[in-house]
Amino acid sequence: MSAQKINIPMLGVFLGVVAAAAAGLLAGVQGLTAERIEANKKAAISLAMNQVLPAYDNEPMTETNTFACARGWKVTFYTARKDGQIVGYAGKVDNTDDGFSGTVSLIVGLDADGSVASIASNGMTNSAVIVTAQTETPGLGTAIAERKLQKTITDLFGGSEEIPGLVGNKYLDWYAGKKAGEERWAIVKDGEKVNGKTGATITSTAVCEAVYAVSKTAVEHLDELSKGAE
Amino acid sequence: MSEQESTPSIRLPDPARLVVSNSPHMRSGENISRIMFTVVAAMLPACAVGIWFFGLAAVWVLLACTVSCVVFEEGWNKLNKRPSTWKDGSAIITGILLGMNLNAGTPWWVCVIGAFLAIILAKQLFGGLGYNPFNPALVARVGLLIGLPELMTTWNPTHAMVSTLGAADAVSAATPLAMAPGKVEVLQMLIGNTKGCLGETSAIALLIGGAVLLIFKLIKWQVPVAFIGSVAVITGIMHAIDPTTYHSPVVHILSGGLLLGAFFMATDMVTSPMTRKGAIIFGLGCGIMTSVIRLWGSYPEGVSFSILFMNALTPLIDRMTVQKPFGYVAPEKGKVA
Amino acid sequence: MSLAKEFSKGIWKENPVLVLLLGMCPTLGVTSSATNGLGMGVATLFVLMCSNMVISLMRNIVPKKIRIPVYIVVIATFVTIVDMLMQAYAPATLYNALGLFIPLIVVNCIVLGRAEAFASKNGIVKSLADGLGMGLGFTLALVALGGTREFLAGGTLFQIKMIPAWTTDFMLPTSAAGAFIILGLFLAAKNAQAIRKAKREGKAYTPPGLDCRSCNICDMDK
Repeated sequence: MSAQKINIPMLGVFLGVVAAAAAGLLAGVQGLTAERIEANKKAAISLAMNQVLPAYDNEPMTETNTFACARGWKVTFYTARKDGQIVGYAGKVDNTDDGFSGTVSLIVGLDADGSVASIASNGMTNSAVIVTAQTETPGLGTAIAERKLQKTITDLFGGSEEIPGLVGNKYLDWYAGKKAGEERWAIVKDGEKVNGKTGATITSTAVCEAVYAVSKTAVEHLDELSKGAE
Repeated sequence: MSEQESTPSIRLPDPARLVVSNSPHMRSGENISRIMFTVVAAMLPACAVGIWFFGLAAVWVLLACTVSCVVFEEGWNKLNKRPSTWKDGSAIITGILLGMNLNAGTPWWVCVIGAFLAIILAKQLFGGLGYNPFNPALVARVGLLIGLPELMTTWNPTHAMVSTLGAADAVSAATPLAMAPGKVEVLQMLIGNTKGCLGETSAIALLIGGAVLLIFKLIKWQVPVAFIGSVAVITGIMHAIDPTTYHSPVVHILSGGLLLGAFFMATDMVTSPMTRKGAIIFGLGCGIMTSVIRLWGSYPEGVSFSILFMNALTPLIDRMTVQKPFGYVAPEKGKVA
Repeated sequence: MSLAKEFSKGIWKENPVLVLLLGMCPTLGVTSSATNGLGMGVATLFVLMCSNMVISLMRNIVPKKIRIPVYIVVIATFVTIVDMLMQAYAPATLYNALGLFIPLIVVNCIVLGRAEAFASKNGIVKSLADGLGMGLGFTLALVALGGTREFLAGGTLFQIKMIPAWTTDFMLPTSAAGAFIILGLFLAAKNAQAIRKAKREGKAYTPPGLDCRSCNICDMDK
């Protein structure tokens, strides 16, 4: 090793060549996948949009308004129209800072007056609230936020069909029809209708605050919203 | 060992059969099972109060925990072809302590999982009694708390509460620590008529048990005094600053598992420091951690976490607080160099 | 060693998780379910094979002084490719669950370890076999760990309920503490098996060498 003369510029050039080759390869792969990644992201949003909004015939993705809410979060509203009339909004808030182990992002369907929309699906009344991203404790915090159908082994072999539409979640469905007033919504833990769970108070509160913020912002800015996007 | 060492000129006794420790050699009538059964006796008052207030449900929980702990202990011994150890009473104590740390209405299968965590995971996998770094009953309690948070944080009301408040209100009543400050009835907490684990509600019964342990010199007084004292000081300061958000130190001492933890679990001979100085450090650490978790943490109760945390530090504390031998004079600094 | 042996050693005898104890961060971090373990394992397998192949090809032209930076560049490139491919083609739920850990494959000791200890000294075919074996061993260990944790928590496997009557989730195995506990039990079982095997063959059990013999990052023993 010591006998070998080390040519430092040569080493730099070698490293540069390797790095350049890597960069070229990456650029190629990115060119191949970029379109699909973008499409995936769009599809994820529009899938959630379709679930929380009533039937519409415009493109809500292009008709948006963004307002800051009292907590400082940015709430983006997508306006849904049918025959030119506003039928509802989808309010999206990302990365609220109060989850138990990270942030919570959700999308809420609102009626034209700013109250949380109710959706009838599979014979149940669900609220138009979907938590799009969360990192809560599995089985505890996630029970509040997830709309997930548990598959069982009998389904796998019995071949039961997939049911489209929203999966019920009693904690999220509590918000159906609620409209934000001056008072914050309380966390209800006992009884038939609940929005909070013992042992997961922080997640319950985080979701409640975020839904409230969306509804509240919509109510405050209803005039601007009803004029449509700028 | 090398070849030469294995053939000594003097015939030594078989080291596997004879263990000679350093002097001084003392004789006493104490042995493990006698100690253990005194501890059981000290736990009886608190158990009795729990059974009085929560009824048969408490008996079933205590029984399920104790029996399954003994069964796991013996099962493990059988499996590994080791001599039976249940008669030394340590599994029984772990079982009773675990039962005291559970809600009176806990289903039997939760008791069995808890016993598995305590005996197999926390004790036998580390080598059995004397080798476990963590208090087995507490490992089980924390494991169950993380595993089944919903079950572990709902409490049965006492019979007395049901008759005064009505069934529905008694079920939804909060534990003292979760109540708003100023609304807590201290007298009820002294006798044990509150919600909580079946063995931790009655302060008087726990104090009697603690006194028994102290009289028989089974525990070091430094641990509970430092533990409870530091909780009292810290919560006292916070209560003085803002009495509307922080409970008074009396409530903090009487509520939750503080007395149970301070007298019965932090003092566990295996998992707490051996020296007196170490015991004080251990107690202070437990008290500070408990106060911090209770006042600012996301869990209402922090006794079990703090004791487990300090259990982990015990070997370090022991090393730090080695007592100097009797008659040892430290060499003067100048002379050594 | 024969090609088949190079391949099979990673799966059991020198399993990167259970014996070499490499790549503990993804092992403990993502194995809350069998699906996550499989996704992470396959992603690592892909990176490991690609990096082993390229590094084996380059082994005679890379100057010794800068081999570590060069290896890191190669590994990072493949990790980024995996990241982009998964974002584009893997199910969204899987990518969301693994998202944070995919970039961390760069610093997964298995990948750099195999590059340094094996691919830089062996031909391309052997290196591929080694990468495939190690990657498969890693994947199998992760799936087993994830499956065990998932099953103990709620009786599910690959998100499918195996025991419909099991309704109360037991969250300890899927928590971080549970990851350490279950991994510890796995390691104990693997060691017990190795010791028993050595005893049956009448040999004293020696753990596989994790010392300077299998590593050449420094020139200590040369």
